[in-house]
Amino acid sequence: MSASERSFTTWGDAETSLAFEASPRSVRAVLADEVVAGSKHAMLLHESGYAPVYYFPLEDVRTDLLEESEHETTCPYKGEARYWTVAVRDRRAENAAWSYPRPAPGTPDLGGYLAFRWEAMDEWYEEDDRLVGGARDPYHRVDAVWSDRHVRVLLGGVVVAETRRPCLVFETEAPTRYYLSPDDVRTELLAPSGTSTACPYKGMASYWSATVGDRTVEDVAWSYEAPPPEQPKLAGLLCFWPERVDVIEIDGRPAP
Amino acid sequence: MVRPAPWESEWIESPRRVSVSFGGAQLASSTRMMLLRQHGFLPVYYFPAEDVRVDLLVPTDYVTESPYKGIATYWDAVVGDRVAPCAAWSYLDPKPGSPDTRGYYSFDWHSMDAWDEETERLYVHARDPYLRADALPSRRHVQIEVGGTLVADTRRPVLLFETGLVTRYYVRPEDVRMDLLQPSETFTLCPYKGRAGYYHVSSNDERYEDAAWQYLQPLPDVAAVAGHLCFWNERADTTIVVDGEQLEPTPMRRFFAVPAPESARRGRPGERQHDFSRPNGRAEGPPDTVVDLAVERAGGRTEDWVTL
Repeated sequence: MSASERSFTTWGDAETSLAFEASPRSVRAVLADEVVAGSKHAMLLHESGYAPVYYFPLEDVRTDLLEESEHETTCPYKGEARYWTVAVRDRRAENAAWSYPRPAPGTPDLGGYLAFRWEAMDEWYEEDDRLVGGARDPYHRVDAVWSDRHVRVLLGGVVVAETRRPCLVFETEAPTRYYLSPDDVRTELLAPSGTSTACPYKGMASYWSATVGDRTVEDVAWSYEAPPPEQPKLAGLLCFWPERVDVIEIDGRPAP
Repeated sequence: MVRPAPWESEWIESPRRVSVSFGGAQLASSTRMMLLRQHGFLPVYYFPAEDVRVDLLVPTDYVTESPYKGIATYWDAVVGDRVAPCAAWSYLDPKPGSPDTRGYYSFDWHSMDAWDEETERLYVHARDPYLRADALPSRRHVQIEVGGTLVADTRRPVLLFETGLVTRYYVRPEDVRMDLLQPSETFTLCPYKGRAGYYHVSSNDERYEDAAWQYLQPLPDVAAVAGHLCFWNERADTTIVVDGEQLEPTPMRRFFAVPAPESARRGRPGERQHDFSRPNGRAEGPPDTVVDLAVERAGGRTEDWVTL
């Protein structure tokens, strides 16, 4: 099937745009070592403001592992959702699967598909590649580019980082992030905070808190110690939240 | 404020500093870039006039006409004794309903010596912020025949998913009849994947030209395909069977047609051209541009790629 022939339906209104798109990727969701859903015909539901969600054709779901639940929700764009609890031996993921058996008018036929809450499953795969933090959005790109811009980070009136060799990370529809070599950061002011987050494109981030004078700012910066092969430049670099420092200056001006 | 879906966005701000150089001069460099994305065309950077060395541009009579954007006016870029004919263009009066590109200039990619984003060199064309290329290891069973001979059989392919394009099946050399492959002179360049070298395939006393390709040192986006061989899904001489199912042949993308057909060669300066007949995946460009921008068979600057 060529890309142009693949099913792609859009709907929505001025506030919310949605698309239901056939994915060429084989997708699997695993709970307690059991493949709960595995399909070469998965659909990807895009909804503005949200990460995309995989929907599996019913025939590719282990419906014998699903127990109907009382839970219901309503979405103006998708209709009334019914929920199921996924049960594998002694593991139960409450209300972890849902479907729109009667989609709202003007909505593509979601009725034959089931979706699963990302965090409720133990493992997700695209082909044989383990996913981290969510499905990859095929319209999302992350370019890490070395730059010579002059970057200064001020916190509590102190310059905590200064460099002329930042790595700029341009992520689709996200603010530019400035990743800095630890050699250019006053790392003696930083301590690991224990916080971590997962990103489908950059991997697992570890967070750092900064202490300047008697003030400590939690989770002021993060770093990717082991980014995936597609983001080799990020390894070990530090990035500061502009909202948690006084200012991040780029070539003498506050970062946009 | 209605925000268009990503696949509809056309005229968008880019936060990247982009510079373009010619004849030792920086013709333009800006941190206030715009990117024009049009369905079916490659994305094109536009520079605000204030960030362009307009003193190095000489007006020409040449124009191209886009049924959508209107008439593009062209300038020669002149630096010392080097001239890049009709290498810069601008829409002085864009058609109503098309992006308001007034006050912006763009440059023909291949007429220029170098393009940079921040301090990194750019190749072939601007990258589209709404496209990605994912190279994923897979357990699908892939069998490929060229000219009736089974040349690849694997259960450990790497599948390459590039937004909007056909899935490609990359096979490690151990699972390919490498004894049937001979290196070709052909290579292609891609800003997402890097430089690909090609192979001819011998099968039943026939030679199938450039029937396979390989990225020896791919860009990090698709690191997993390094050294793997890939075959066309667009050619009648090649069949690809995945998990026992033969893939439908896909049409050759328009800008894979190299060299460009004679009919696509530009007319005389002053003659109006219709951009939709351009074979190179872009709407604008100088006359006599017949290089293929998406897949170049013998162009580009190979020395730049060796260091990647």
